[in-house]
Amino acid sequence: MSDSEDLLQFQRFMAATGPEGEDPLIAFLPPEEAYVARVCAIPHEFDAATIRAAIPDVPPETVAKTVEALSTSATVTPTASGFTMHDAVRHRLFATWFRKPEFAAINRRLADYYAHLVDAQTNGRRAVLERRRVFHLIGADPEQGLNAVIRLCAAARERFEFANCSSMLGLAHEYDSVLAAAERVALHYEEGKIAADLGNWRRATDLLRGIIDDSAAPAEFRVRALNRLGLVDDAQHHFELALDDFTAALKLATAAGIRKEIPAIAINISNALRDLGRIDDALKHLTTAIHEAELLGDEDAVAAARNAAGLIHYRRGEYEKAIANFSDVTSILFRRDRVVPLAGVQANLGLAYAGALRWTDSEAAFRKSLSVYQALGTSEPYARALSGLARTVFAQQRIEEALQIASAAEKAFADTHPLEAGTTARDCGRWLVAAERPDNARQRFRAAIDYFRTAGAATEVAVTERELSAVGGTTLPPVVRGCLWAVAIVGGLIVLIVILALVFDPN
Amino acid sequence: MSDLDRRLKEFVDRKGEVERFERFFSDPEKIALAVAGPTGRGKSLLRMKLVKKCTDDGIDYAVLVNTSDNFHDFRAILGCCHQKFGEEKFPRFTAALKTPVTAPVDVNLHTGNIRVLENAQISGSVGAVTGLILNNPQFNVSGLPTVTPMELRRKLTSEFLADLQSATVAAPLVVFLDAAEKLMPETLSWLWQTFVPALGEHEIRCVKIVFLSQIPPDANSDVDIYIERTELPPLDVPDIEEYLELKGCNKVLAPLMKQFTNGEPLAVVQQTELYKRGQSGQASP
Repeated sequence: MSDSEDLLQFQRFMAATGPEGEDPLIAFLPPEEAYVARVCAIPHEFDAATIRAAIPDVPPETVAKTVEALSTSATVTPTASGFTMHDAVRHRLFATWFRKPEFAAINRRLADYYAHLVDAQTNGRRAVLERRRVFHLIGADPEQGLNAVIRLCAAARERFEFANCSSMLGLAHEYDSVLAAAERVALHYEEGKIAADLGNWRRATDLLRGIIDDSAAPAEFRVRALNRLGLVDDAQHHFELALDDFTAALKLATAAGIRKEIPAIAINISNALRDLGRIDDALKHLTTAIHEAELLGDEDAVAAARNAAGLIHYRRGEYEKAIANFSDVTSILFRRDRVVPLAGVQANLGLAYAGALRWTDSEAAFRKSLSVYQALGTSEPYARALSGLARTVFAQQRIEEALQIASAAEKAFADTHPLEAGTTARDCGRWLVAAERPDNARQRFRAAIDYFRTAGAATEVAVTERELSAVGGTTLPPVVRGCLWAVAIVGGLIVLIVILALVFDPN
Repeated sequence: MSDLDRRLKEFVDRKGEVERFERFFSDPEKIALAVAGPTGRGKSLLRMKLVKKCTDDGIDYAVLVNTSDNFHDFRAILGCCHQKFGEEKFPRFTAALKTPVTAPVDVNLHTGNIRVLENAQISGSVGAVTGLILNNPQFNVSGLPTVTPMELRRKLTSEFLADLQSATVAAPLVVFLDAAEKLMPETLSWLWQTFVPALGEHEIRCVKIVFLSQIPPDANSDVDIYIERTELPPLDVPDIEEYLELKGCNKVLAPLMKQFTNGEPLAVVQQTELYKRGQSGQASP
């Protein structure tokens, strides 16, 4: 064929096809194999076993032949455990499935297939297979699948596995064009929560605001979005804005009869009021929260509200009231076998007892808290409880023990919480001053200053430097101190020589 | 012919990118080569070409390909170095992998009880005595992990770097991160804000990263000195001519193909294949 004939034929071909044709292998496969090839675009990774599970009615040899043919395509890449289609090709093919009646059945079989694989796995691959299971569950039944995604996200958030959550939500978005409006709202709400968890305030605010402003969104999600937005504002110390959000959430929840959200909202309102210094109003809202939670039989909410009340009394110096509230909370949590929050409240109880100068009770409460955190190996709350215990032990005049415990707390804080590590080191310094051990005290003050500098806490650095200098210390490095001494000695010698020269001046 | 060889046989152009990789590999200042390009631009094929080059040149490498449902995190990146260099070179990292970040501290409450301050007056003020508040005990948490991912990431990275600093490594390892736009934001920020700057600051040059992504890393003056950046261009007419010849087509079609596909490699591949099959008389179903 001549060049001009070739060109003409190619022009005709171009005119007949779009710029983004199907994958050539699919376009030219016999119908049954082309069907199998399209099924390969449903999972993110495929091999013959996966596809056989998806379409058991198709002869295995057809599946094997098609997978082999696809494996030679430039748009298919081999992976460690199968093949993946190029994203652009897969998305195009995947989108053609949405209206097909067999799509749900294929996805159901794939979800079951991955469920079996999940059960057989114990290592890190389990999370990948779990994501694949829920992805196909959405294809089989969007409502059931999304509920599974939301449940798994909640569990993953508790384990701080935010990447796992984001990935699951990203996979769910592949079904956007066929999801109901309420289902898309549910996804956006979950994404807003993850963004807030990650401190991405702008994204969290945009996502939540989108739900609040969407009049078609179910009232329950608008209430939850308002409440969550309040938490986002509160975390940024925008307490007035947070209060407005919580108040709007309460109003909408009351109007729409969504009572189960009311205790949590009331607690949040109370926290915002407390942070704004409106303590009496804060306590009033906690009373509402406790009342509503008791009516609903929501013991977790009762415990949360009583704990918040305990904290308010504690901050006001009303230690016996604080102790009463925290004790009630521990009873509820103990009964409900909520070990981890129980450890937190035990630490709070330790504080309240310390405030009431009931040192033995305080120490016992801190020890109970520590026993849980120690078993869990949890670092930050463990370090905080240790720090509280150290102070309580110090108050009982057992300084060596207190120093030992504080040193453990400092070590636990050191990597991730320099400010708290600095405070703990400074406490040690103060206790050592009281014990008349200035050398050791200076060492701890210097360590504290280093931590505060790492934390960028200039005020704390200044305060600690004053305390250090009060015990005859300086933060200057040894070399600089040596130089200053040398300069002082040389200067002194020069002055002495001058004086001697003047005294013994022969003239 | 192996699958890789067959794929690479169709590889055209990108000579500039291969040369750039060679320069990057021998440049002691550079730690990462960031190759950006939209979907279908040929990043994965370039990765295969560079992997082949590593094999031919005896350079050790590891490949991490990300998909929407299977992405790699910082542990996978550190883990592949750990595996390639050998576990024995990473005693601290290996130990950190096996133990919680903050092991419970043994606090013996019954020793060293020296009584001092017998007459001290302890103020009842909360701040002075305790200075500690657990503001919101986690009521909705049924169980906590041993450490937070942030703590784990920090600890494992610092132990890994400490090991790598003291390890003797004969030659650099090249880590290919393909489809890196699918990495989670926290992994990306770890990579560009923690890992690469730390390798740079500690003058560790035995890990070289080739980052292939639709989205280039954000510009950041602290880390840019360690990054070689490049954007993969579309194919030009001579490249398409070369490809058409490789596929047994008439190269005079190249200008039209360029016009029709904008030189996007994926579209060129697909259209060539369709055209060829059309010519050979295979019917579309």
